[in-house]
Formats: sequence, structure tokens, C-alpha cells
Amino acid sequence: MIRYIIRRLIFSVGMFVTVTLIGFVLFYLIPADPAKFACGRACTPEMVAKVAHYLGTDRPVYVQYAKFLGRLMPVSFKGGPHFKEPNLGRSFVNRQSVNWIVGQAAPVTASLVFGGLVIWMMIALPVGILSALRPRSLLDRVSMTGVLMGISLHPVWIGLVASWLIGYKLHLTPIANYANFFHPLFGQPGGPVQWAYHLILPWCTFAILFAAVYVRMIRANVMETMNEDYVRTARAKGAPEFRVMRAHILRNALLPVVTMLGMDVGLALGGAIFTEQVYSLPGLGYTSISALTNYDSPVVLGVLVFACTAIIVLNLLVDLLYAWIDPRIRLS
Amino acid sequence: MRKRLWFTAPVSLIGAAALAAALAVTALGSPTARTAGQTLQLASSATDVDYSDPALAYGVLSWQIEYETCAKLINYSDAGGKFNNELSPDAAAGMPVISKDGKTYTFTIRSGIKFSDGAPLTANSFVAAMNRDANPSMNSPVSAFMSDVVGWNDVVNKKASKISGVQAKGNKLIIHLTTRDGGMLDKLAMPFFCAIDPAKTPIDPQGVNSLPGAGPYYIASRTVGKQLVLKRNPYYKGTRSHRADTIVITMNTNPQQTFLQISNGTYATDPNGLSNPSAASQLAQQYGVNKSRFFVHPTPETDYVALNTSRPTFSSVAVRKGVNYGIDRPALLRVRGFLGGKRTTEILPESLTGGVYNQHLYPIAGADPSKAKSVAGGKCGNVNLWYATGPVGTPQAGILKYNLQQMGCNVQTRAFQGYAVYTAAGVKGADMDAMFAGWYQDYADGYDFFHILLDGRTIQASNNNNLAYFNNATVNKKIDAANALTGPARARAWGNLDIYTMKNFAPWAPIDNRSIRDYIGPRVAGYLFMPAWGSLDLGTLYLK
Repeated sequence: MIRYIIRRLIFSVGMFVTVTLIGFVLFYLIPADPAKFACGRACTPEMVAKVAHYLGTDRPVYVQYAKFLGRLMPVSFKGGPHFKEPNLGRSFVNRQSVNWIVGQAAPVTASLVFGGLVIWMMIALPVGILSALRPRSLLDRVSMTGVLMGISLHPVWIGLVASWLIGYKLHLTPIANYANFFHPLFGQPGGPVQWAYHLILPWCTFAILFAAVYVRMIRANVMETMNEDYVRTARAKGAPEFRVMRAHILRNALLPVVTMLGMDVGLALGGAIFTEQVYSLPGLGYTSISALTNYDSPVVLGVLVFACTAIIVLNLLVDLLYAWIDPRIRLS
Repeated sequence: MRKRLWFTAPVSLIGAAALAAALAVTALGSPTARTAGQTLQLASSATDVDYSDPALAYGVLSWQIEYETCAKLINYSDAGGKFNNELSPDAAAGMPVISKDGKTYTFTIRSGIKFSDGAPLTANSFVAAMNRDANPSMNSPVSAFMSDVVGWNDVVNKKASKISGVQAKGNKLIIHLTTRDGGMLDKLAMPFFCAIDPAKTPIDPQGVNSLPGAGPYYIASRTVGKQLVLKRNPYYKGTRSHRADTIVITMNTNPQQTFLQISNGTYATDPNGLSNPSAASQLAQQYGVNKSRFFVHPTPETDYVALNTSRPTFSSVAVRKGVNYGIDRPALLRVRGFLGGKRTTEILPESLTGGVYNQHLYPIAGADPSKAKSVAGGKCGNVNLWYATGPVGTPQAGILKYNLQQMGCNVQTRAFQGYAVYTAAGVKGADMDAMFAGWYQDYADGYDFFHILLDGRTIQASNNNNLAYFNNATVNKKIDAANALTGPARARAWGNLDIYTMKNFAPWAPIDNRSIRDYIGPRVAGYLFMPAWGSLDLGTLYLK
């Protein structure tokens, strides 16, 4: 198990370096000069050069990348080895600390993703299982139609229609915006109830796509497992149906779902972009879109580092959990 | 199968619980009354201010906000809910005394003006602001405009710590210039020259987010990317408008949702203009234009096609004039949506021409391909047309390509993402023949257009704004001559130079002067447009 963990950790570090390097090089290749943008329109080349030096964009890309990685290290050797806070740098556009920007945006995205996850699993589990128990029934056909729609409709469309209908016309929820769980902004609602109230539509919008995918997956897994020999044997031995379902069918059918969940939470950080955009949620997706528009590479890379770390850690946890649950994985 | 139903019940219960939980949260929350009292809630869709620090802020929205928070030597006044488009004294007791050679400006500072923290405003408040602007640690964009202030560049280049040409003597502020600059007063009206309290506004390369203001409001707080709060300056005794007690601007909202939220009164308006341009036609029908809730005004911006005079195709004046006959201005403007701007054939927006405007040198009703071809003499060759991709740039490139092909040009298009097109085209020798560009005035003077965009002496190896690479000795001389003038004669000189340049050299094919479309909420009153800034006045808005 320890060798397995070490192997996975080395792989994770390699993946992190590769992803950030690609991100860095991509920004370097774009023919836009952030120093010109930061300096202002009427600047002379000398002034632009000064700003480029201030931003650090006048150095070769490998130096910039090395400095970037150096800032990320939790240890510094300048003036003797000591621990330091990893530093993502400063925004080219507003000169704010990227640590602060990402720190402000991450809880919003986390609220959306984990709240959405609860909703999508609350929909997917019962609907998927019921559909599997009664295939080709009315419930199954209706839920499969819903699944098809959930997969086909774009979250932006769903979000715009939902906010117009439920928020604007029916006044049941806010049209958009985010309410902080702690420390509400001046003149804005805040606290747990307002937080949840403002997130209902985003959660549902966000959950629809994933719920649809998971309903199909759970249905298929449950149907497949129901035909396994050990299920038939359990029933032949007279085990109660609840026990068969809980101990024999669901335990095995939901194992792949756990794996998928770990990966999808990471992917959902990317999928959250649309939902955040449509509901004006100042999360990581919204932040990265704004930064991309302004060629603010430190902020984009900051979000990339955060998302990459989150995905790697989640995948690592799932892998370890899976290896722990299923000995065949670690042995292979 | 019947036994499986035993499992169905608890599973259904979970689903019902999920639904109940969602409904319960809905019932517990309630829409917040966000426009209670005299707190104005505004939404800035899809953008935040760049900075709230006056030394760094360089955007339409940030300047709109700093109009409310800044005391400047001279300013445009909105006293009595009417906007005066002429400069008038603000923190100064009167207009400056200008020496005979035009190189020394002496301002007398009014007594009794206070910052929002109670500190008095003095001549030193302006000296501190200018020294801070010039400080190399701040990297302020203002240095590009102030090279003719004695000692400014010494501070920028770290040869001095204070600008030798800016001095405070008692209540007098004296500014020495190296050369006569008829546009200096317009420059001093920029928010870069906002008085500061040096004790509360330190040198900080990251910029200060909230600071005391000596204008009608001050920036009480700013949460970057999310919110900016303006509060009334309790010590303000001037005449500028300040109706609401507090103005809260929520940043980076979704444009479509912002439109709905203005419609239902959650937000008073979007200070960036109509967040959903496709709704302009419907709003004009519903509310009329400039009557109740929908307002349209021209901005000091010109959109144009720069014709690269240093490349073979457009080195010919005849071909450049031909393009001005051949482009379909109505079609190009239509891309910006209903009432998106006003067609033009001139370089300067109307407000900068001193009344020498509306000279339609070229057709504005549509393309005239046969005239274009005959004027160009059938000589149009290869054209590399550059543009920025987007809902405006992409269709406009298609239209222009068609217009140029009608003239007999062989057009190749190249798309760029956002401002990358300016970086690429700004390199001298780039293989760009024509490109879409736009220029929004920095300050209300023709020099800001002619010197930066069409003065051939400013062409450099990279970072060029003269995208036509136009260099004509006569025009350069006329720029100098106009810059030596002051007052109405100066504005007329720019207007005349505009017509002279377009009639004889046509380095651009001007398309339009863009307009701003404002939409306000149902309970909002006091709308006032500020032509000098091309934006609405936040201080005059209030709730009915």
C-alpha cells in the first residue's frame, strides 16, 4: 500500500508540473503584452518596458516559470531554510494578491459544487434505483426522458430560463447574485438562510446535468448487479429483499459511482463556469473568465493551480479509498 | 417484484425529502428590500473597476466613480442637476493665472474644503497627489500625459523624489511647464489629479482600495471583484450633486440578469450602460428615448478603420479616399445594435470640434462602390485586414471585406483575441494594411486624438497608437499650431484640422461615434448625462 501511495504521489507531482507548464507556455505564446495593457494606451516604449520589468514579463519564459514555481514552494532557502506561504503572485490588471482573489472565489465555487452534489445525488439515487427496479415502467420512461433533456440542455439556457421564470416572473427565488455565508458585504443579505436561498437556482441548474448522468449510471449498474449470481443466490437462500438490495446490490452497484463522484467533483469545478456566469456568482469559474478576457495570466494560473490541486487531491483520495476497499486494485 | 416495492417506499421518501428541503429553504428566505432609504444599488455587469486609487484608475467606470469622490483644481460641474460641459474651478478659487509665455499656471486653493475624514484640503494635497502620480513605484499611466511639467520625468526616472515644477506656497499651487500646453487645463481635469490626504494615501504599488475623498462622496470600501461602496462626504459643502446617501456598486454581474434586476427594481442602473443591447429597440418603444427610463447619448469615442499608409496598398491617398467612399457605414454600425452610435466621416467626436462638425466628406448613407472604384483608380491591391474577434468585430470584418472586394481589393482577414490586435498592429512594420480600432478620449481635447493617433513624430518601434502609421509634415505642423492655442479658437483649430486631414489624406475610414444606452429602474429619478465623460452622473440619481 505504501509503494502504491508513493507511486501515486509522484504521478500527481508530475501531473501538476505538466499542467502548470502548459498553462504558462500558452499564455506566453499569445501575442498580447500585459505590460502595454497595464501601462495605459498612451505609454512610450520606455514606460512599457518599466511596467514589464515591474510585472516580470520582460524575462524569458523559463525564468518566469521557475520564479512561479519558486513562489509556490512552501519552503524558502533565502537567508536559511524556512517555511513560507505559497504565493501565486499578483494580478496584472488590478495588482491584487492572487492568493486573496482565489481565496475569495474558492468558497463560492465550493458552495455551488458541494451543494449541487448533494442535490444531484438526492435526485440520482432514488430515480436511478427506482428506474432499475421497474424498467420500462412509466416512471422509468419519464425519468429517462428527463435524463435525456438534462444531458442535452445547456446550463446557460437552463439558468437563464429558470431565473427569468422562477426569479423574475414568480418571485420565488432571487434572480441572481451570491449571499455570503459569513461576513455579508455592505447592504447585501448574508447568513446561512440567505446563502442557501440565493443558491437554490444555481444548485438545481448545476445539478441537472450531473443528475442526468448519474441516474443513467446508477440505473445501469443496479440492473446489471441484480442479475449477478450472488444476488440470485442470496434471494434463493431467503434473504429479505431490503438486505439483498442494501448488502448485495447497492454495495456493489455504487462502488463505481464513488469513483466517478471523486473525479466529477474535480470536473465540476470546470463545469461550474457556466452556472457561475449565468447567476453572477463570483466563484473560480467567473474569476477565470474575467481574467482570461483581460489576459491576466497570474489569476488564470492561480485558478489553474487551485483546480489542478483539487482534482489531484480528490483523485488521489478516491484512488486510495478504492484501493483500500478493493484489494485487487492495489495488488495490480 | 412485490418484495422490491418494499424498497421503493424509503427511496421515494429520500426524493420527497430533497424536494421538501429545497422548498423549506425557499420559504425561509425572502427577497431583500435592497433599495430602501437613499441607498442606491447599482450593478456593474461583467466588469469591475480597474482601480479605485486615483493614481492608477484609468477606465470609464473608475473615472465615473472618481468624478463623485474627487476634488480637483478644475472640473466639470453638475451643480443644480445640470451638467456644464465647460471647465470651471472646483477646489480652486478661480481659473488659474497663466503667465504670458503660457508656461506657468498659478491656482489659488479655496479655504474650508475638507476630506471625508475631516482633514483640510490645501495646496499641498495637490502637490502630494502629483508627486505620488510621478513616483516610479506607482507606475501610474498619467506620466504619458505630463512630460511637459518641469521635473516630472526626473521623478519618473528616479533622478529626484519631488517634482521641481510643482510647488505649494501658502494657498497657491504653482505648476511650471517646459513648453506651452494649451490642453493642460483639460489634462488637469483628469482624476489622476484628484487631491489626496498624503497621511491616508501612501505610496503603494498595489493601489489603495478605499481612501478619504474631498468630493461629494468618498470610497468607503472596496471588495475587489465584488463591491464598491460610496458614502457621502459629511464635510462636503460644494455645489456638486450628491442625492443618495450611499451608492453600492455590485461588480461583475451577469448582463442578462442585470437587465432583469434593473427591470424589477433590484438595481437602479448599470453605470456601464445597457447590459443587454438587444433590448434597446424594445426599450425605445416602451419608454421612448431620453424621456423616462431609457436614455441614449453620444460618447467621446470614434470607431474607425486605420489604413496603414506605410504599406503599399494604402500608401496611395486615392485608394484611402476610395475606401471612405466604399465602406458601408450603416451596415457596420448596425452590428452595434439599435441606437448603438452615430455614423461619422470625421476623426474627432463632435464635442471636440468647436462646432466645426457635420461635414460629410464621404457618404454616410451607405457604400458607393462605383465611386469608390473610380476614386481609387482601380488600384486597390492586397489588403491584410486585422480585427478582434467578438460579436462586433467578426461581423464587421465580414462587411468590410465585402466592401473592399467590391472596390477590387484582394482581402485576407486575420482574427485576434481582444486587445492582442493592438499589440500586434502597434509593432512598426507589421504586415497589417487595415484594422478596426477605436479611441475613447482621455481628456476633452483634440490633441488627445491628433497627437497620439496621427502625429507621425510619435511613431516608434513598438507600442504605436498611430495605427495608420501616418506621418505628414503639414499635419504635424498644424498639430503644433493648434496645441499652442487656448479656448474656443483651440477647439475650432482641431475641428478644421480634422476636416483638412480627412479631405486631403484620409488616413482613416471613420465609422461611428459610439453611443451609451442607459436603462434605469422603475423607482429611479435624476438621470443626468455627462458629455465630457461619456457616462451618467451617479451623484444626481435618487429613488423616487
